[in-house]
Amino acid sequence: MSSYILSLIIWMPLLGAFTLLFFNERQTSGIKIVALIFSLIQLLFSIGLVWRFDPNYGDHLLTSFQFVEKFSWISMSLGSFGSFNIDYHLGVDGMSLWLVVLSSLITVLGVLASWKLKQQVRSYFMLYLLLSTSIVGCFLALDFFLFYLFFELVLLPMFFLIGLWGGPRRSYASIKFFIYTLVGSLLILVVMIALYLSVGVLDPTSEMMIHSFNLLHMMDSNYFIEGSSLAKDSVLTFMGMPLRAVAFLALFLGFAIKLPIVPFHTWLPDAHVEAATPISVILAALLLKLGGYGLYRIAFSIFPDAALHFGYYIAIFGVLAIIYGGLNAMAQNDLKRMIAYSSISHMGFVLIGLGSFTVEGAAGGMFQMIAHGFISAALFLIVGVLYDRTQNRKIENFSGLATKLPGYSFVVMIVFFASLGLPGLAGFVGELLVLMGAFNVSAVDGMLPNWIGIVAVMGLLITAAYYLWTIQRMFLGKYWVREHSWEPKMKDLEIREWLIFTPLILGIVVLGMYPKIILNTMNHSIELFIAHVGDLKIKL
Amino acid sequence: MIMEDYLLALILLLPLLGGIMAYTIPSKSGIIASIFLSLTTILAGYYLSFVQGTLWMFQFEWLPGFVMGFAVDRSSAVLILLVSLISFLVHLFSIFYLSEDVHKDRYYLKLGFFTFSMLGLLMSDHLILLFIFWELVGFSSYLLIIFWFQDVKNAIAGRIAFMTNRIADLILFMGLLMLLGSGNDGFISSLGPLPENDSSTAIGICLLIGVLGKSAQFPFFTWLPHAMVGPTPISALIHAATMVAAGVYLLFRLFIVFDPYLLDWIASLGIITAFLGALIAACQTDMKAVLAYSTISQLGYMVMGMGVGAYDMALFHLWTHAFFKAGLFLCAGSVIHYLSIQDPTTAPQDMRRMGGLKSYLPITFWSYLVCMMALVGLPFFSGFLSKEGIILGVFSWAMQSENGLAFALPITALGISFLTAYYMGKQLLLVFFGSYRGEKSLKMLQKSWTEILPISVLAILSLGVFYRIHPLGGDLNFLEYWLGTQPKVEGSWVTPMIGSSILLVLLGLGFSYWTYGRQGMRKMKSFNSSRLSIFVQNGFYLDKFYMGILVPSFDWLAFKTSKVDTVLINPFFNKISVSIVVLSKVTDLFDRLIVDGLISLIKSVVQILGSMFTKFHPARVQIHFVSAIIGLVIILVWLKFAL
Repeated sequence: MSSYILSLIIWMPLLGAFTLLFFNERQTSGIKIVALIFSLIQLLFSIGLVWRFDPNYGDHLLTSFQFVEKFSWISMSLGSFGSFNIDYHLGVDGMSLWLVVLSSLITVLGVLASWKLKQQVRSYFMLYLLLSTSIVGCFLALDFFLFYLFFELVLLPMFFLIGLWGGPRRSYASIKFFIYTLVGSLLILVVMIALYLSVGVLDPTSEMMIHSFNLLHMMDSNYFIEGSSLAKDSVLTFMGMPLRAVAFLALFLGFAIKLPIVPFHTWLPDAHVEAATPISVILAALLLKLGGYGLYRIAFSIFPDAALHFGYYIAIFGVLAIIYGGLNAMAQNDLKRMIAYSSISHMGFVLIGLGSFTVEGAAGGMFQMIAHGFISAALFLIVGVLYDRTQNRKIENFSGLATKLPGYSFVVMIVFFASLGLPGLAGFVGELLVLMGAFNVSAVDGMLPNWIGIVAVMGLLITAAYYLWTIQRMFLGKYWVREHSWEPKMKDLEIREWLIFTPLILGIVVLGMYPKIILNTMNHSIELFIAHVGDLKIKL
Repeated sequence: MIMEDYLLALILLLPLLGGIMAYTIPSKSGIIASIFLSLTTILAGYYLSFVQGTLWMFQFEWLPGFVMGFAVDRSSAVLILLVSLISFLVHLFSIFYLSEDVHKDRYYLKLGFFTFSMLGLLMSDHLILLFIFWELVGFSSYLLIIFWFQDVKNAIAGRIAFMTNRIADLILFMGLLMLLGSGNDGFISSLGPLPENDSSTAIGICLLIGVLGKSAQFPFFTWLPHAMVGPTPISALIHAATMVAAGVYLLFRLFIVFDPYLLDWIASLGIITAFLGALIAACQTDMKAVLAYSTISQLGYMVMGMGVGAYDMALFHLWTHAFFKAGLFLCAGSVIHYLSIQDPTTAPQDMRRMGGLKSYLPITFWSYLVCMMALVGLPFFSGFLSKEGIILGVFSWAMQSENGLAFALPITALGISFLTAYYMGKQLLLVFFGSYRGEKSLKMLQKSWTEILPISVLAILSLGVFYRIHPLGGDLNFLEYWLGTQPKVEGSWVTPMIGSSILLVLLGLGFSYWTYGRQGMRKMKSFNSSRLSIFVQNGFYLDKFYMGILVPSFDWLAFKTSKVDTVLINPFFNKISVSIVVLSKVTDLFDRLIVDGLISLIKSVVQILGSMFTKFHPARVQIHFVSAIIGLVIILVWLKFAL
């Protein structure tokens, strides 16, 4: 299948960013329209991708990628070190497909949400479009070097977008975000180089070792050079641990900081609170998914043996995030901070799903990421609505908003209840699948004990508690706002805001009632993934 | 049968559709929603007219490889009719009750959504599907409790009700997941007894807690009185007739998975709840609170009936109770509505202010009387049949039990008959008899048919004659038709048992007359308020315990946890970054003092040397230097060519 649709999806926003160079700073509406058009084209292409996607393609994880594009990018001979190869290698499977669709949808909505921006519009949208390119690039890259490039490229625009257009403590937040993520990236970099040195094929003609960053080779144990440091049978240890386990832990930590896990999560509330609304939306809906996707595609797929070994502890980290994030969310009095902590809590389910090593669990974790993409985007937009009107988001400053803003409160009800896992809305399905995975595996081979699932369910209770409490404090009761000057600005949603919320709410409802729309295309890949990583489990 | 599919789909979806239609056309919302509900009721009745003994099933794949399904048999079809009929009557009554409200459209949307969820719950054949509707029922109940959300008290009450339900629901969810995890496919119609091990005990306990939560049993019953802040028709439909009965229905469906040991526990919790509920109801002064606690008490009866194995009688009591309790609530609604127009105060539900309403609300009074007689269990009324059935079931269960303590259950059940008669008689006397104790003089009001019709239909359906012609003995054809069982309780003790029960009811009524009827109760202050009765009136302060101790300690935990971030993690990483900065300052210092210092030391040495040399060559040093270099170059070039 030779088609350049993946490249088109990746580079379309960047093309938009270049187009913006032809505008001057004052043509704000032109700039916005260009950004909107290019992100819409990207969305159209990704919908076309879903259309042409074959859900049952391939019979092994390594051969299940579609629309593959592979060109040699950098190739040089290094004498006795063999040859150095970096490919421009893209491909999509059921797991990345929906993340790509989610990214392009959220990008479009983010442009709409930034419509009222007034300062430095051109640079804002150029950075914004660059961000979109790098996020989608991460989801589609099949070459570790390319992936890493995109992964790092996310940091740059994000740093400036938080640091220049953020709130009062924006520089603190952006530096904190940058440093945390950079530490994670460095861990990934080390493992990437080690993997590069361990993986290669012997060129039959020149008898030279051809090293490459090809992720598919790294997932396949046949490509590991015998006796290399990360080979399957490697006996090398680092501080008493097998090197493969160490490499897995480094990758896990690198991606988990982004997910995030407790206790490496404190960058997230700060970054969220200081970032402008559309940036928070991208941050929660897409950036956290990079971490989760990295765990699926890279950490677990390359080191399934080590992952299996640590599965239980990964699930414990998941439970910790659920409970800890939930309790923290409960204690916040800033609405945005509360939602940021709830993100941490929800991402814990991804870790439990991964740790269960079941098809249900892995599919649930993946579904949870997509659903959380929709829900968290809507949640941060909800905060944005209030912040746009009052420049304030303290919970105790508002009361009885349902009387004055009925449309807004309707949206809030749906989104909050979706987030607390009301059946029929998107949040429930992911949690159900993850918990089914956790309880199944505990009954089958006891890899995860029952208490993991039980404590995770208790986490759902905490979620319900803080959302209901917030609804009661902010939206019910007598209408009242702290400052008199806010009074004239308290108007219900305008058309632009409805335009942003409608696709999200539709997504939340459709995903909740008919989850097969995603799971049908995803399921085959998940099964292959579990067959790949769980391969060892049967042997053990 | 294809037609059956469409018919049941229509029954399920019409209420929701009606709600949406009512929302889009606010001016006629009540009528539209009622028409849709009447269609549902007619269809449900029509379905019942030809439903066979076979099970109708519809299965679909919800998630890949995960099949769920609906199923309806006669026992659920009867309940479907019950729910749609009562929902229809409540819709009608709401037209009257909410005639002044401006948000009727919203109300009917929520009500339609509730009816849809409840019918879905009755139709689902898969545990997860049942849980989905179970949650939706709780959610719509929350939405209706907070219907008048401008008053923050209602909002808080709604939150408490939802959260209490949520606790129990999540434990139920755990049980369901463990059941699925243990290799069960989750279809209710194919459930069998669980193997005897620890995990099935855990599953049983989890399922049991789910039942206790939804059916407002001890220790979860505190949410039901909170739920009474919603509009009274809602209390009639959701918090008396349908939603709270869902727990009993689930017990019936999952009866087979509970082991006998657990069933004994269920029976004991049921009787405890029935007793506590009746006791608290006897001390209430709020008209709806009496009915709320009475509902808790009657649900306790049903749960006990399930526990002792008299599941047919428990379901029958569910049916009869739905009618007479919905009737009582609607009568209360009629009274409250009347008083809030005639004599508006802050406490329109306080029975101490009522009295003598018999002559102003005659139809309400007679309907109330019929429903009340059914509740206390007098012959000729429906409640008598089902309640006697349960008590006889409990008695025969106690006879078979080896534990002598088991007789405590039937004896307590008889005692509760007395209490029930007492508090209902008290309410009747306080509300309808004597003379009005409020400030204003009352007038007769124009009656609306939407008020009278639902109340009288419910009262008529509370007559015993529909279920058994003979008031005291004989076959229950209705039960035979419904569940295919016939109570076979025989023994010499049956007649004295029934006799003593009737006697106790009469005693209870007499006692209430002796306390409240004789003197006519003109003065409000003659109501006793001893410390004990206040203690009981407040529900043994169970709610205060939850709200005053458990919830704040949970908040405290959350607050303390959030401190981990601000006190522990953030400072820790800040310390790391600070120490890195300090380190870099130190290297900077090193750079400037030692490295730079060395360089400048060398520089100064060279300078000193230089200045010393200038002493020797005071001038023209550069010329000397340049000529030396030129000389060197010449020598090098010469060497190159020479060699």
